[in-house]
Amino acid sequence: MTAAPASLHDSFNIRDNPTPEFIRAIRDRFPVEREVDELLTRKMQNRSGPPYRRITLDELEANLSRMLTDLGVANFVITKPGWFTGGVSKIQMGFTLEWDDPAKGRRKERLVLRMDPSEGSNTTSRSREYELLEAFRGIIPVPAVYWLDPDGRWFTQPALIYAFAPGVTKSRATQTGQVSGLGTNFGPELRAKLAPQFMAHLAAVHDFDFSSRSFSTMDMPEAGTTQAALWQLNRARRIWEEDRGEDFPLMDVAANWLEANVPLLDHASIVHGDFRSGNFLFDEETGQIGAWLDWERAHIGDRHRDLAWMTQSTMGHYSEDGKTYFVCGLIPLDEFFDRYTRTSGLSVDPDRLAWYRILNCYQIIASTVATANRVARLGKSHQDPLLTRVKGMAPTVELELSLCLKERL
Amino acid sequence: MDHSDTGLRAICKSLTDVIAPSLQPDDPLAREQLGLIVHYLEFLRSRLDHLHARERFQLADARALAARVRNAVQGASGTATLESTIAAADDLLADPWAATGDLREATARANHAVSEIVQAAPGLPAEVSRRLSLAVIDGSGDRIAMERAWYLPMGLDPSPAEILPLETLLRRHAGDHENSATAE
Repeated sequence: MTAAPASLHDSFNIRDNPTPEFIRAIRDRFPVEREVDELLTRKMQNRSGPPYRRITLDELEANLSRMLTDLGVANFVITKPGWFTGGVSKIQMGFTLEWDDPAKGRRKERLVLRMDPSEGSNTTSRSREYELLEAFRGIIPVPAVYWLDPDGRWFTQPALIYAFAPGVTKSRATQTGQVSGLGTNFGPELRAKLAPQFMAHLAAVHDFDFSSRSFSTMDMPEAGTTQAALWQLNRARRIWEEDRGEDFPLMDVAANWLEANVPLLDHASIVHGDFRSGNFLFDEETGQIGAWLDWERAHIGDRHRDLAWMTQSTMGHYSEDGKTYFVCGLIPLDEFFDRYTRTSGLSVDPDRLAWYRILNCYQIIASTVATANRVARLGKSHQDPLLTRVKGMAPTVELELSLCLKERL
Repeated sequence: MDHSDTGLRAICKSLTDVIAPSLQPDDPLAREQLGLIVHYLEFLRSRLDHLHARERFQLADARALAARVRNAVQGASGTATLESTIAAADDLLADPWAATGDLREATARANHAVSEIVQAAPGLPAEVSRRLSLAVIDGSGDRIAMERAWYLPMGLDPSPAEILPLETLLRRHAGDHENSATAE
């Protein structure tokens, strides 16, 4: 039993300026993949630094020019820089680049710069995102990726440059899907066009054969062990411990249950990590999916992590009569797992699904209750007003967590 | 008379009528954030009259959770801290003039005492540990219900029709400490 400090409420704010001992103790307690460990450690080491200062388009353009010059990109011209909105965790600038491509000659393309703020709602790797976008080119629709600033050498924070993908995340007619496309109602016509592609792309991700590939940013968990699940559990628990501003006994109950019931990995897949409506762009006229985005939470692990994520209650919606729940607004829940198994050839295990559903709830609560508050409190991101809003999602997920836990106890 | 509501209302109107049209058309991020800011201020306006009641609710709720946990793990180590946090909560809840900061601190202490017991649960006999987990889950229901009502204006709850009025939920623990003191 530890002695309670003078103000327990304020004592959580050691996380605003964490000591090396505090950082080390959490690292030691929750082992994670190497790349994730480096990112989270860097986050904590930088936390006491200054708040985010709004960067201008001119500054970004100047950084971009330096990067392209240093990388030997010949005769480039940057035009039409502009902000992109809609994302929560990354700063995004669109621009047009004309340059001499050694392979294709003179070319002109609309591109996107995607950069970390000082600290975001998700601490994730641009390098990993780059590797995955490269790996899935030609497998499912993804934007072509061009350049990477892995450690903020040119942009002060890690950044990635990829092709602009046209399309929308939701129909212009819909009023739903208020935060990054969550709960989007596509309507019957679009649903019929998008759902088969959604399932096929999901299967392609989980069936992707990476045996001949080596990823420098992702560790390979051993099948037949609990390693894959433990890395994800430890990541979520580490984030909760690093960012929280309060005790929440329900989270402790969840952590105990997850720790006591860690599942074995039956088959190692690429897990997208945020495979849902809002993270694909489609053509509103044809209903064709043109690009899958936001690979930042991807890892090698258990496909049930993705399956549990996309079937989580806030990701979809009920039909008007309240009888049918549409997974990601696309596929009726009672058909979803059969269709997945038919398309992918991979089984769905209800126990693993239940474990990852509880883990996902834990992770979302950590992100919306702990991280979003800590980052906005310290003024660390370009989207602090949006981060204060996501707390409104937390109680629904807390309810889901308590119901899932009760079912399993 | 407090004029905070008038102040927030005036600020929202100014942001919408004066500031919004003056934003640069090529700065969608600024326009998006202005919308979020006005929405948050309107949300805060709708909650101004309930802020102190929420602190009292949270303490009463944390106290009720601590009492459930005490009953679930009778005799386990750490229950002495639970007892003292429950007693401290009762004292504060009996005081109609208890300061907001004191209520918040007592809530933090009650939740901390419960969390410490739950974190040590893997060392308890399986049946006690299960009872404890269920006590926490059941004891978290009122907090979750109140927070769903609190954040309802954010528009993020997928089932808004099932949420009870905030005023009803904030009164849910009213009188708990008196009943408990009588029973004990």
